[in-house]
Amino acid sequence: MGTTDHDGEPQESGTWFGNFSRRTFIQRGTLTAAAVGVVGSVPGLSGLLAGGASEAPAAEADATEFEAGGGTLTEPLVAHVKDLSTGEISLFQGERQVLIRDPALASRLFSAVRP
Amino acid sequence: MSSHREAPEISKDPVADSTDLYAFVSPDDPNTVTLIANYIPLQAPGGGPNFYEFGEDVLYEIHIDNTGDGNPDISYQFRFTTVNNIPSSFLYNDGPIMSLTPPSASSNWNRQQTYSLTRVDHHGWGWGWGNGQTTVLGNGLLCPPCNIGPLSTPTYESLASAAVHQLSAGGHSATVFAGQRAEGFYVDLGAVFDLGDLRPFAGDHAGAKAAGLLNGMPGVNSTAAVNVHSLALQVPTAELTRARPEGPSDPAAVIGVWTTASRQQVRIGFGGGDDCFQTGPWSQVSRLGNPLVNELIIGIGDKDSWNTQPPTADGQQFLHYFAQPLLATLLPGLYPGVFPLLAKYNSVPTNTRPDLEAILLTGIPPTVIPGFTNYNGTGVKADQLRLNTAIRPSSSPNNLGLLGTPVGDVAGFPNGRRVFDDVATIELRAVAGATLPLVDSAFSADAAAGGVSFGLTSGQSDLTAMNTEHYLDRFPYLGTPYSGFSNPSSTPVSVAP
Repeated sequence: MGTTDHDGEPQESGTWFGNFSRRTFIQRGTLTAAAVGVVGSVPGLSGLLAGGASEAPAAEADATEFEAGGGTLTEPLVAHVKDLSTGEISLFQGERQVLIRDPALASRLFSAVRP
Repeated sequence: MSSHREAPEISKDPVADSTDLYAFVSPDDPNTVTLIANYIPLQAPGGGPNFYEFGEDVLYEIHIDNTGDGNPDISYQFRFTTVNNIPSSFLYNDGPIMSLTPPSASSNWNRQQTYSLTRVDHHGWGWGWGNGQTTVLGNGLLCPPCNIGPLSTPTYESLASAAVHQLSAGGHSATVFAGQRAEGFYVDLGAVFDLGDLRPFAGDHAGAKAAGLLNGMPGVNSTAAVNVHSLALQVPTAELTRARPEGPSDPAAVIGVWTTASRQQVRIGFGGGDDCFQTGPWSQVSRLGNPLVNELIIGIGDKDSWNTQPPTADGQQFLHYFAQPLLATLLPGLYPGVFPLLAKYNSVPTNTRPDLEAILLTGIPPTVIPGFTNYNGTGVKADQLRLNTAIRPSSSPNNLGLLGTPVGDVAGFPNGRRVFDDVATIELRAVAGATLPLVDSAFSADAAAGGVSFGLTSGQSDLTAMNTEHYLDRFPYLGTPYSGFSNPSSTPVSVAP
């Protein structure tokens, strides 16, 4: 995710205990399923991630280039928008979690699921 | 129970619910240590057609701390895969299961599990999940079926024997078994959770008169006819200790053991049966070291959190539960006049329980019991089952282990835990004050502290809980699972068919 516009290095969380209580784990899982989609399986979401052609900031062009470069989604990728104001998004894939900050992306994802 | 359904959240997730943990020097092969972690509590033997199985989406681990810092130095990881051999059938099997063979469409056995076993060496890799040098000891290892009955599993012992695998890879070796076994833990659940009216002493209970309870009633082994799923390992001792110990007094002889179950942090289901996926880092949902810790020591508001934490958390946010356990303060009230010395000790707010901290959190230092120690060498407080691997198995085991009389059996709990150890009685006596004089010479225990029991054994040499348990004298030591056809019955049948 190094090509995404985040204000710092991605923070990987792989510790086996972390700070997840079982209840918050389940709650977070529910919020994740409710608030975001599985990238690649939700129609139109890949367009959101790539950014609209007319409004994409420069950094998002990098993301578009990454996708155009032949990346293949071989296993599910899940994004959890944790905080709209800071743009904190947790990305889950395989046994990894990567934390990024991208307020614009967070806002667009939120807009996509608003009724 | 030892750790069955011991916390609100894990009680809703049986496949990830650790129930008991055993660690002992193998009596028939003393150069090895046997580690057994049980999961999936209180299995009704006839509970089909979807009989019990490990979770494909659960990471099961047995950890070993051989440096005393509270963190794992070695972990063994079990990961399971499930196959429907006959997807069109609703049955567990459509004919007798006569041999253990890899999954196949021509099999009589419909739903079958295999697993991988990976050893992780954390030394030099830093602390944290996924850090370590991994060695895959085995892949596609076969589990036995559940014990269904005389027509489905007529030769159950041979199926279970075929599921014992000898593994060797990367300079490491292990004997392993993963599958259903008879529950080996014995306890009178009905009594202990009915405000502690232990049947042999119920007449002394505060509520005896109102309920018409009398002394001398025999205990009831509530787990006598149920099954569990076991992860059993037998490993050369030299592969578990940090160095070859020079003898029982060498700190290098002591290992701390605990088991965990973890789930990935994200699960998304699409509403179509098993049409779902999990992703993300593993998040611990169950933990077990010494028996009954989360069950009887930790407060209900912290039990779920405790399950998610590493053992090192015990010396921090959970220490107050060990220092002043609630059960010790309740006993004098439940049994008026029976524990006056314990009541007096409890009445001093600054008094703590260093005996319980030693037994459960650090191991017993060398000066407490002459000739014995299972101290971790650092004083780091962490709930781990601590085993001094240099102590040879006893030729005449005592089910009260170190609390046996007139001489304690140093090969038994709390020096590790053997399958037949009466851990419920041992811990109850310790909580009642029987072990406090070992570390506080000013304290004398109440006479009742050394005599209280659940009434489930005929004496200290009884290794069958009055013929309600049927352990094996060889790996995996826990008995043949109770057959679904034959149990429940008025006379539980512990062997197939």
